[in-house]
Amino acid sequence: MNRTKRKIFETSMRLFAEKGYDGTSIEEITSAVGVAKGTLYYHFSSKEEIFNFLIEEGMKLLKNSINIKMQAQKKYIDKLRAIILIQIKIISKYENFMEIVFSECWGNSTRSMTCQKYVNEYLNIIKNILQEGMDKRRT
Amino acid sequence: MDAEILATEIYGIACSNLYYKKTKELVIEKLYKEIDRNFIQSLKK
Repeated sequence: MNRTKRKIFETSMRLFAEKGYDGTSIEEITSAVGVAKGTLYYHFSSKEEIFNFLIEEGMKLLKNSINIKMQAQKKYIDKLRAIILIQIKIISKYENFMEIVFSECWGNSTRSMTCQKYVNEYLNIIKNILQEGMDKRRT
Repeated sequence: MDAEILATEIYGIACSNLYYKKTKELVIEKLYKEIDRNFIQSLKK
């Protein structure tokens, strides 16, 4: 990601967290970043595309962090511990991202559905770890 | 134990952690130990 795109990404994340997606305009984003609208549209075709990119990148980071940690853990309890710790660290470092995920996940808008899709993928990772642990305890 | 329900509980912990961070100073180690003691340990039983 080049510097301008990253700045748009980070500024949008902050504004979406502070004011909500609907409360944030493209003009506010470009003003806060210090670029012209044309520059923003070079990187993202719409506010919705910024949002989708934000959610996708954030959830990718979360899932990749978990997958890396999971490889080092054998017991399912230690895997759950790793997930809890990663969640706390992500919240500590990327508070705005988590705030957006929690607040935009509700409703039937395309945006909400996008959020829900990624959250469900994340929940499935956790569920599979739990199920694996439960199955092992039964055998 | 229902794996699906537990998974949403763990996700819910993240939500409550976010609220905690917004209202108090988040000390990662302290928060992690509390969750481990009150939630993870109970799963071992």
